[in-house]
Amino acid sequence: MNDKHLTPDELELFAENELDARARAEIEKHVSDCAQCRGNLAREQSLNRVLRVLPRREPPRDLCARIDSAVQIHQVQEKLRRARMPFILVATGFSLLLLAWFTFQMVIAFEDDGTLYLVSLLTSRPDILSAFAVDAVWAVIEALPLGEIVLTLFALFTVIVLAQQWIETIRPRTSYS
Amino acid sequence: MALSDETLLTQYKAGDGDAFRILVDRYTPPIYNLAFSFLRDAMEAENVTQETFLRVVSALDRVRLDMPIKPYLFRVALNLCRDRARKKHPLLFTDLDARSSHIDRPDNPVSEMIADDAPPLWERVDAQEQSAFLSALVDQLPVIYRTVILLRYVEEFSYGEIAQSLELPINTVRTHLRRAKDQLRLKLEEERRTEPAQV
Repeated sequence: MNDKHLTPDELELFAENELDARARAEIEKHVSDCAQCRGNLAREQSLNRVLRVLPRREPPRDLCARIDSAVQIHQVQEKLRRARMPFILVATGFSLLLLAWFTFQMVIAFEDDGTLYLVSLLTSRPDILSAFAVDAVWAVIEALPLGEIVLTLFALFTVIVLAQQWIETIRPRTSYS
Repeated sequence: MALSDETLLTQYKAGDGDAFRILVDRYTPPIYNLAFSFLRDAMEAENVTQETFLRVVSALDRVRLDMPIKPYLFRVALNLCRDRARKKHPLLFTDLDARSSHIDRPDNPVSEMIADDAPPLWERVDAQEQSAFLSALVDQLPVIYRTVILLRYVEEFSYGEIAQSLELPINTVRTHLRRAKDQLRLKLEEERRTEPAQV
């Protein structure tokens, strides 16, 4: 080490006290013998000293209090969120049961009203469909179990809304600004 | 004796609201300082500081209490700063390499470029002037260099803590710190050269 000067990395690590005892002792020995490295090290340490007293930008005096208030509000919201969760879960489960029931009813109604038979007839006999296209479409529409379809769609909509609520409830808030 | 951050967070998790208040008092100034240095906007710095603590509270169940909290807090704050900076100035980070490349050449070490026997400029002015002068120079550095300087020298983070906060390898942190100081030395040297002309 005595033959060559210290690298910027060595100077940096020495000045920052990041070297082990052996490496540190070697550098100390070199610095005591080498005026140029001694000068470089002094400059390095001098810059570090000044950097350590860089002025700090102070926050507004009431910022801590505002953050405390925001944290407390968050705690209250968190409690409400946790309290709401079971109800939303039960409502979502109940809506799913309703959806299953109405879907089942709708399938039976499709069968009972002959809608499925009519559709299969029209798809297997394209000549009927092409000859009586308008009448065939009206026949299918009249055979649709509209009441059951509306109830099923309503149950599906309720499940989607409640599922969204449930996701919102279990997902923590990420933005408060 | 002051309680450790991890102890305070454990107490807060156990229902002691005052414990978190101590953490807020302890870390609001450094986080605000960091956010201000990053964003140069007092209001944004306040928002980032507040949101940092709220993020920690929100993620409390996932926070590991066997790990130091300080780097985690600063990592959250820095990520928030990055998000806001990207929204405000989409080009803020893109020219970092280009701007620093002229002094990063290995065949052109700055210490040799500026080595002379004259005392550094900051040794020739009083302490307050030194501080303000260097602070203005630090403000001119690219944001990543500014951040490592601030964490290392103002907040007195270890290299390991800086690495955890910035999610970078320790060697990269060392490189950033060295380059930041190289740039500072260059700026100081430029100031020293122009000084007689100003008098």
